[in-house]
Amino acid sequence: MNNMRLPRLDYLEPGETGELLELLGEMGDDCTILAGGTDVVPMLKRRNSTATHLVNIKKILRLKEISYDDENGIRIGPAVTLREIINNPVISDKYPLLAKAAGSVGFNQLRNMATLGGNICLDNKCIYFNQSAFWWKSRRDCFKRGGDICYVVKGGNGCHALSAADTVPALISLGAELIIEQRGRERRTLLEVFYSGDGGNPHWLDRNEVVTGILIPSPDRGWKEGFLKKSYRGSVDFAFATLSLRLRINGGVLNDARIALNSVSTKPIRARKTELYLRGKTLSDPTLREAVRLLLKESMPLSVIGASALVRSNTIEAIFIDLMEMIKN
Amino acid sequence: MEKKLIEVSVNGERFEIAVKANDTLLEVLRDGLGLIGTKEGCSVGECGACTVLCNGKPILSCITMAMDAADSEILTIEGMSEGDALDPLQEAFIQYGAVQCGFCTPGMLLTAKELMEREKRPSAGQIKEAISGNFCRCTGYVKIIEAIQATGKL
Repeated sequence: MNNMRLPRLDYLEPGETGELLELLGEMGDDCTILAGGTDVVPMLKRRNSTATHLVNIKKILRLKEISYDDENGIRIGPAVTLREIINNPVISDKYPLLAKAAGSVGFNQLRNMATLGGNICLDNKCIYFNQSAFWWKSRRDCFKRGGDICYVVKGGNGCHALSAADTVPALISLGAELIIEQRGRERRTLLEVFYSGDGGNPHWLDRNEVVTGILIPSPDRGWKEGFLKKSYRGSVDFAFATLSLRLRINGGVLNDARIALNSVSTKPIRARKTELYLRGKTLSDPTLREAVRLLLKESMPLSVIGASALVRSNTIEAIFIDLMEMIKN
Repeated sequence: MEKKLIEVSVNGERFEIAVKANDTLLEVLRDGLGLIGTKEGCSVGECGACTVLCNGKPILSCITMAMDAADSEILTIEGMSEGDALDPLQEAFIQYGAVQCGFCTPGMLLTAKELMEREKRPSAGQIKEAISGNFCRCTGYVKIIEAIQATGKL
């Protein structure tokens, strides 16, 4: 049987951001950040992660705060739990899309533990990579383990693990930005360009950097929006596809659109070509058919976790049409 | 590996426990305190058998670091009844035959307990949503949902 005890670890608990940044500056390569732990701990148990130091960021009050003002929008600390997002009255009122997306993650107990920062920085998932050390004894290492083979895309020359965070499409369609800090330096990046597309190393985040805030601009009027996640059982599982849609419709004409997808490929997709095509159109059936064709072309679905590329394509089409219908009415 | 003393309240009683950095809350509860009502199923946070209430909220003790649980209030299945008086949910589980092998029952009951505190009379949909992370391989869930719903109607 597999040994499912955690490996030997050092457990560190900085009390403020400065201390955290010092720690990561000194020994970032050995550290993994513990927020909710719902993904990091299973990864350590299966020896998918080789980190030797666990850095708990939940004792840093600043990283657990939510602040909102009408001019600058909302700032959410990365260690805020998904349950706190769902229950927060400001988020329910101003950003219901985010509350809905947070409510679609995992299940009840996981949402009580898991954090927004953790979901954004979630490692990509793969039916091969995420197996135990025992299982891997009989296989040649894949790209994500430092080897030179991909079992998902046979003959592929890189890792094709799936980007599977459910809050991310909602955040991208809301125009979210990240604040990323390291010792003596702070940068801001749009969430939609935070993902590299390399399943093995999915985020543009150095080992000595940490996400210290999630910013969403204040909501402007006139947008209609919707979010749908489709998975095998409707709970627990990673999705076949997750879609977030925001539309601005005026007198039957679509003025503007924000379309974001996840759980289809190695990184979240902002469907810019589909958005561009839809702009200025009325939402007739032929228009929607062409939009679906473009959307599928942009998303390039993978056969990896939970569904084949064909099931993924069919799901994307179905939830896109469903959401469009819901929003139109 | 070095041990550290943490303070934690379990079922209303305060404990000072020496834990290692790689101990999970589940290991501390079962092996340290002998509270073996909390079960280890998948051990990677997918099945819900290890559910306990932490500060009133259901969490998965198999993927909670023991040191992270310091200063929290934990409720396990052993603390659900008061002496010999079972919780109404426990009574209903017996009455409705919602227990077969019993392995998922502690987690199921604790998840349901928190639901009842949020929703006095939960609908079948709300119950399914709340217990969707507690896997039961025997009952087919029907009796469990009936038992929880009956408790709400008391």
